[in-house]
Amino acid sequence: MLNTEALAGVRYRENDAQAFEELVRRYDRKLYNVALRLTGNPDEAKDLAQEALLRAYRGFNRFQLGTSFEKWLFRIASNLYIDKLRKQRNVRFESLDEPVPTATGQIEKALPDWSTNPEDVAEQNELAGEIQAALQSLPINYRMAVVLYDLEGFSYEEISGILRCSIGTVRSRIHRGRRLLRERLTPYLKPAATAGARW
Amino acid sequence: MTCEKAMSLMSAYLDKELGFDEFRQVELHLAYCETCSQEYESLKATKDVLGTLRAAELPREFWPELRERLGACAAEQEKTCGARRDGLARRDRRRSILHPSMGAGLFSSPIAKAVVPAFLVLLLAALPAAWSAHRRAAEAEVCSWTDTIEPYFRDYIISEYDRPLSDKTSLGFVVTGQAVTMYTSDLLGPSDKAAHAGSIREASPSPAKPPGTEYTLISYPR
Repeated sequence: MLNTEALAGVRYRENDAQAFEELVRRYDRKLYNVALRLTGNPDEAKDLAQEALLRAYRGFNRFQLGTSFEKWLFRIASNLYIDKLRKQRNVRFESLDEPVPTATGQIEKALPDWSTNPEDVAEQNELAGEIQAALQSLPINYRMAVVLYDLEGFSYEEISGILRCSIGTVRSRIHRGRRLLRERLTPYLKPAATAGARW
Repeated sequence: MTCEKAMSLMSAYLDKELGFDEFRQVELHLAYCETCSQEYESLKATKDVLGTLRAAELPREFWPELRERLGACAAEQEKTCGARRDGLARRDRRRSILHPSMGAGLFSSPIAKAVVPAFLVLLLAALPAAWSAHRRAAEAEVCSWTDTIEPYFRDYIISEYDRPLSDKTSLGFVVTGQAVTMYTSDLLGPSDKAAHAGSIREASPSPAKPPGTEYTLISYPR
């Protein structure tokens, strides 16, 4: 957690975007990754993370000193995502290899380079794609709980603060989410474990 | 512990997010329940698979874009704050009684700026006198000489004066030589004067007395 002095320092310089940037730099990647796992789309994830930071900047005077800034920030992001889902009923699908039209013609999309080894790239991409697809198939509440715990390492207590629900609810959501994921990811689980995936 | 209960707690057990008692109970259950152990292993494998997902790098354009948006937001906030500040200042000026908008610039001219303080000083100086006059008027209302005290003394003086051995001085008369004089304001009414027409003489107000005070001099021959 950030110390109170650092946060108070930024608060007194409310309109100082640079001070705010210094403050949130330590969370930007984590925030982007949560957004990426929630949305499943790099562009949407970027927009979501940027919008969350922008909202945090605008509403920084409402942040209560002495509470967890990280929790507050991720709560903004999760609320924002839920709001966006409610508004945008139609999910936009985008082809990964479709050329992008521009004013001068068409250009190929550049996919992120996950690894230096082409075989690993293929395997990693396949597994990552499957995991992401499995995550996308989860109900939003389960997805958020699983992403925050299994991918970003928040504790149950922190997740209950971010999602504003009881620890019992967090426990239940993570458990149900994992069971649903297990069904989707059975081919990728280790043989010793797949026996248990029959229920 | 039943299998149903153990399975509901399995993920929390896996994550070490259970209390000591529940953790021990699940642990004991897993020691002898094959089905729940397999459930545990499969959930653990699922968690492990999720752990293979690599964290993505932040897009290069993330901060340049966000910086631009933050800058625009800061400028907007500054504009909003500035407008708010101006609005408050305007409101404060409007509320000020010395502002030109009050009374169509009544207090804005240089002459008015000089006259208004002088007027205030005079007002302050006149206050004690006004207060004193007010107090006197109030006292007169409370204790009216004309209505209560004067009639009593008038009757008393007239009745006592006619007595041969009365002490004229104690009645308030000033005995000087041949005359018995009383300084008062209309102590005797018209009927009293008629009754003592032979012995009462009215004099003009004394020039020695301060102006503005009405005195009637009634002299009785000794």
